[in-house]
Amino acid sequence: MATKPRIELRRPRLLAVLAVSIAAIATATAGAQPGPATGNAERGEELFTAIYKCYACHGFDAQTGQRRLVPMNYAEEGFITFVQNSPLPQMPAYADVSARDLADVYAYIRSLPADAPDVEDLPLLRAIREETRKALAD
Amino acid sequence: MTKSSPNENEIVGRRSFLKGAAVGAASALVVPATTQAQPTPTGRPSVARPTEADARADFSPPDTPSGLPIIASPASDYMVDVLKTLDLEYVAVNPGSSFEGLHESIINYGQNRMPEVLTVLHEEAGAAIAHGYAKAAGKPMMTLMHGTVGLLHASMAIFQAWADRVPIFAVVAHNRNPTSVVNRPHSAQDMGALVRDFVKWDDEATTLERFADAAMRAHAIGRTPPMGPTLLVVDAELQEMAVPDRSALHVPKPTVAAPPQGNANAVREAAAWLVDAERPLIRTHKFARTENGWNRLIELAELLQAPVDVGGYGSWQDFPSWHPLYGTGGRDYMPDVILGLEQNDMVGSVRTARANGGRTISIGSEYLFQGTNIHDFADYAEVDLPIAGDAEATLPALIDEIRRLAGREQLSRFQARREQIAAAHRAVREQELADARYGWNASPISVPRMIAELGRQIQDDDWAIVSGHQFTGTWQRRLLNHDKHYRYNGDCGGFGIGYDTPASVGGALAHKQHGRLPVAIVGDGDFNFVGAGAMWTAAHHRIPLLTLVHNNRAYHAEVMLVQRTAARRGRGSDRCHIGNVIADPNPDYAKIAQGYGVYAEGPIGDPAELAPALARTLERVRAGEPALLDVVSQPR
Repeated sequence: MATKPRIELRRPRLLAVLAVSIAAIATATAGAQPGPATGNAERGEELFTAIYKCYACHGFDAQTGQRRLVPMNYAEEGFITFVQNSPLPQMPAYADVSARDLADVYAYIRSLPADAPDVEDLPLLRAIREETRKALAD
Repeated sequence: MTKSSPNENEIVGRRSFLKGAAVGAASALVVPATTQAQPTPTGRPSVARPTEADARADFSPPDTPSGLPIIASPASDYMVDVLKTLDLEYVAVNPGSSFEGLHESIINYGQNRMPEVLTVLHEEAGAAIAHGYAKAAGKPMMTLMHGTVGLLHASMAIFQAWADRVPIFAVVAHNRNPTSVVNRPHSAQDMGALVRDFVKWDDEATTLERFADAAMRAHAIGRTPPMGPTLLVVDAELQEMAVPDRSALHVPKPTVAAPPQGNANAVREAAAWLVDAERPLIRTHKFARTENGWNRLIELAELLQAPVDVGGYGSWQDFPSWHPLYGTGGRDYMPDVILGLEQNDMVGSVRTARANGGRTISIGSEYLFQGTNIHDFADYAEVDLPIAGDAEATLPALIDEIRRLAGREQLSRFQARREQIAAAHRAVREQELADARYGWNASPISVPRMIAELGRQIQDDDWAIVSGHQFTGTWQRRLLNHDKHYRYNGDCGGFGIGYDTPASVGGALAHKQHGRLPVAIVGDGDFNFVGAGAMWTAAHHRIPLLTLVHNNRAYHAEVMLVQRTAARRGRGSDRCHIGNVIADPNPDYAKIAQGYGVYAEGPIGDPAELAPALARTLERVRAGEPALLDVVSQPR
């Protein structure tokens, strides 16, 4: 029986190291106030929806799907670093996408509503919450 | 928004055949002056009334060709007698010349009852309907196929049932001695070989005695865990044989073996481990075949006060989704004993348990599985206590043993962990609701919004989700209270597109006799395989079913996968929609469904329009007919 190449066995550890490193770069620039966006949001929308099809995973408004991009906690530099070097299996590393394009995408995401209505303000979800709490009450 | 409403027993005659054509062509007709003077009533097709000869041609059987003797007792009548013993309510049929004998015997000799013919427009749809039906009804359905071509069309759906461990009573016919340019390619030296890699058993009946024997065996083997489709190959000429002495042929009594239970000593050891455990966790996959299994699992979980993780893709519902013990117990709940029930992939459970210094128990019929070419079994897992047996059948013995071992002190210890587990579950639900808020008013419509709107409107119905949740991010499970064993019918099994729409028709068919409200949430990609034709089957057979098309106009998962490959190769990511997008033009699924005689609305992309459209389509379904709503939705 054939065995898997050794590199396959090492990949998870390698990915973990990369993930930690890139996350460190990204979070170093992340914070409650991620700083200004320097790109063109209008062009970023075109890139997000029509060119790179980011919406396929993140939704047209970056609010749905996996994973949600708003509220955006990364600063622009950290966002660009992450997207170009993503070690995550769920997300390709878009190393070929220019920093300028990503700055525009970042500007588009930052232009989107960052929050959502409270559950209590949405009757459907409020009803589900009440039913869930009732069902799970001990 | 059209809807045809033919009478249940309407015979398809010349007039009904011409009806649609006449209406469709009416605008192109140049109406003669004499006809203009006497306009036809509104809504009536402008065709001539049939003559008596037309009516006779429509409704009278053909004269018997002179010189050909009547076959009073064809062998296919005997085959129907055999089939009638097997509790087969329906047989999916797309007609084929190799089984015209059996077809005729079912509808005339058998009076089209047990089994009743379900007309399907594609053999894959027929097998998928049988797949969905079997899970909802708890028993197999028959599908009857033409040699080679029909079986190959059905093969994908048979594979899905195999991967889902669901029985289908499949029958294929061909000519052992083909004589024409047509039936030669429809015959084979070894017909079963075409699908043998994903049926549990197959046999070819070359005599009537062997037909009866093989039918009994196929039925019994398919229903014995681990379950799966079986295939019976029937010779066309055999069906046409005259049976001179019918009394000489015996119709066997069907028997199905009791499902295998786990070894008693091993079950006792498993019980001891679970009683001693500080943080036991129950993980299931394809466990609760019946309501009894559902009830026993609730009993086990509440006895142990252990969380139940039903897993994700491919798992059946198994356990109430809003039960306090549903879930993993939370991040701080480090299981020291993990009990897998029909969980064919125990690798992750072994890793988790060992990380906590714990052990694993696995009870499953997968250990009894025989050879297959399909690599759908998981990696080898070093389970500490593997028990070969049907988990549902083994659970009563396990529960009894735990009750015997657990005294007051142990039961008190069990009870103490319940609140931690329930609190973790509550936190998960709160987070899910918080996530569902995002994109609430977005257009296209978010998936959680679609599910929540649906949930509100069916909350007083006895509903059942008859499609899978592969492409809806499990939002149905998160937002709807799955409090009955039939609330969710599971996924396709083999990660193949094209199951959800036809299998939902099968699930709905099984629920019909119980008066339940079946709902399917299917992807546009799924609908485009053989789903549209299945809509006609639902309309023709008056099967109530609401089909929501989760229309995101692409194979979105694939966009990213191609982007990943392009990125690794440094070739740019801007062309990866090519081959992955279903747009330009956008298919109109409501129109397609309407064309098949199903009430349909859409496309709807404005969330404000969703609730009224749902109300209108649900009204049709509650009245006993299928309906479809095309919802233009966010990708995930």
